[in-house]
Amino acid sequence: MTHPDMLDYTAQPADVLLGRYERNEIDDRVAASLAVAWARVREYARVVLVSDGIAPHEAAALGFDTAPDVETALSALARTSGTTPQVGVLTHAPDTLPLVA
Amino acid sequence: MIRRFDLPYGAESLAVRAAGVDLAGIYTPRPTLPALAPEALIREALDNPIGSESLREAARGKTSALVLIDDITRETPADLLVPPILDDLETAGISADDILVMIALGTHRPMNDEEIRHKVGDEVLSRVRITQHDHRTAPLRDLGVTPSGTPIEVNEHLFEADIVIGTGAVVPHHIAGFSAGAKIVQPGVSGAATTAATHMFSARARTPLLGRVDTPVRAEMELIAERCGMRHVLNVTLNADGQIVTARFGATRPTYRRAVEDARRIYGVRAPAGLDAVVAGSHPCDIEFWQAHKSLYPAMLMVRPGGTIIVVTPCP
Repeated sequence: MTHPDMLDYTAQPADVLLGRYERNEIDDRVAASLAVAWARVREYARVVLVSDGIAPHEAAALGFDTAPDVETALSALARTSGTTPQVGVLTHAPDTLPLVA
Repeated sequence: MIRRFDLPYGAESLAVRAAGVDLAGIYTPRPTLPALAPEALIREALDNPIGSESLREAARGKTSALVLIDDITRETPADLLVPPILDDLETAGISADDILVMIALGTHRPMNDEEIRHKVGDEVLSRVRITQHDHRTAPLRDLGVTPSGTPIEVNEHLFEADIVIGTGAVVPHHIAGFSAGAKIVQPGVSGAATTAATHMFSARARTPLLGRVDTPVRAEMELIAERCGMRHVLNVTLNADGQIVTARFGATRPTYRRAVEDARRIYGVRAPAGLDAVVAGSHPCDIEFWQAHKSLYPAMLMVRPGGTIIVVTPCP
């Protein structure tokens, strides 16, 4: 992974990372800014990784949960939701700009 | 009710059966036809500048030029964009010996010779000198700080050229709102301290900047580019196959905004917000999480607070 050292701190909360950044405690400041962005996402929504290439311990270092496949992730979601969960699919997420109302 | 969907996964496709959930919709970029004659489209853009004089007029009387291009992590076809820029600079009287093309690596790794050849093409390689901005070793000029406190450190070469032209492709971007425009200077040819500071404007934002035009990050980028004397950009939009759809040339700010309008038509998809979960395929940013993380931000726009984002990425 580019900037592999960042896995040492990516699971930390956004405000903790911001404090460490401002105190110059993180050498790779570009990576630190991205770690804050990931923490912001994580603090907004639960993130589940389905990936053959990212090991569960790496996902944990990123602060993310894992599932072996999409069906398992969706089944778990259905089991834990009080009502039938509404799910959207972005097939090419990085190249899509959702224009939400 | 939709019960199954296909998801790109690296070179393969996953057939997913959705049980126990209500599939609200499947959102995918719309197919966009490329320009039939991209070279003619670029020529037309250079001859019809937005908010500035033409490149030939701007370069008249100048003796040196710097052309900024992005790197191998972007699909921008520099082999198509740079030759007509060189044509206009030479027509204006600038010798090819006094034109430098710089690859704006930002904080990415330097490209190897084969990657450079693939990016710029043999014609450009044979016409002008090519260099790379390596933020670790590049000579940087310290321009102080912006009113917002961002330290400005930019490659010295920008101040050695009489005219600087930026290029780039406009795509949605989680830090800047969209790529291209002044982004070719910051982070493209800036020091790491400058880049970290502007990125932190995005990190501090409570809501995603993805798809927004006038962001705090963009304001810093445009101010820094102006301080460095980059007044003109050639910006294009691309379809899913990396082919040119539109081309715009002119003054940096209005040209970028016109190209963003083009990009919205290509990448924008009407979608609901407040969903319980979003399945986000990382294609085509599949190489590693440093790329695949771009799946998070579009999904964040659609999911409710406390919902779930399922990122599906091979990251081999």
